[in-house]
Amino acid sequence: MEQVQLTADIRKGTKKSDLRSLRQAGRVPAVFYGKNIENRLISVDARELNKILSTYGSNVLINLKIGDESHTTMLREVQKDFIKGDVLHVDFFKVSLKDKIETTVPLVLKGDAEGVRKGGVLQHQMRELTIKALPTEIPEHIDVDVSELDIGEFFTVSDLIVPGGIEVLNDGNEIIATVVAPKIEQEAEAPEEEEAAEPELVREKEEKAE
Amino acid sequence: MLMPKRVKHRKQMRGRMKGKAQRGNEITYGEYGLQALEPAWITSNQIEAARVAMTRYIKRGGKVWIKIFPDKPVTAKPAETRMGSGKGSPEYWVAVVKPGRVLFELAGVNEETAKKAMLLASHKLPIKTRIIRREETGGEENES
Repeated sequence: MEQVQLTADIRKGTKKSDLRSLRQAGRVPAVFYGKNIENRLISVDARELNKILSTYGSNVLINLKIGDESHTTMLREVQKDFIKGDVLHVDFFKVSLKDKIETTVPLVLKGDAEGVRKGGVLQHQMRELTIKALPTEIPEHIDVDVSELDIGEFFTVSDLIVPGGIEVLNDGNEIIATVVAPKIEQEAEAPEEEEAAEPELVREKEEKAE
Repeated sequence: MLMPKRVKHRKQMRGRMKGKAQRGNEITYGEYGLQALEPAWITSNQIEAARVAMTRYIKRGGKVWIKIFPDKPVTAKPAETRMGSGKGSPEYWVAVVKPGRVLFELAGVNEETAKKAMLLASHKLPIKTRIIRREETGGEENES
């Protein structure tokens, strides 16, 4: 797993107006916490954080520098404005490089499936795998080779080849990807009559039953 | 056309559409999504027209998910009726949509086809929309 540097400043204000002015100044409010340490309210540079998120995603080890101290952290939660796309707040979680942690890793499908060449549709059902591993051994993503998948076949968690030292916590029968037969859209010839009908009331049905 | 099978009450009050969509604002099934940027009542006819536009363009292959459901009845009084004598009768069904809501999702097609299909669908809707792509996530729901 990649390791990157990020500098943080301690922030004091907790009011909505404080956070708003912080964001306008190009900073992202954040919180830093972990085992046996006190929570600290911090802020990081928005541009630097966005660069890390766009390059490495959320699964990255960050050496967070707060004043004179330096801590190895991971991103635990990233809050985003889903309309503008701006990062609103992040949680930095202190990790120990010696203890295994539970995390999720993106699953990336590789190769052209056999069934897709025959006209099927590849459905990616599970996009993240829950694993337990040492922070340094967590991969950025796990590749899933679907090139031999035919129509009606599926790729499960137990078919996955994961690097050593990683414990998969998902059930082995869970389906990651499947190729389904194409569904051809049937054009309705005449408008259905029932469309104009009103749905029945729940109350009426209960009365009928009585 | 989409409409509920059973309802508790025939008529509803109009309500407000304040704020942003707190749920249904992320892509959950597909690869691409059509996101609303304005609040609106989307009628069942509009949903159907957008769906047909999309499925016709992608022909075979690909899968479309409709992420909204018109579960709100809208009433209207007949033309040339005097005011009073109660609320009108239910005329059509709408889905209440707030900014940020993902309306449709698409998977199994390339980016170019998806964008064109979504553009055609957006022309059937009464609001501004934008096409979004699924972001690679991971580590967001970590638990130690």
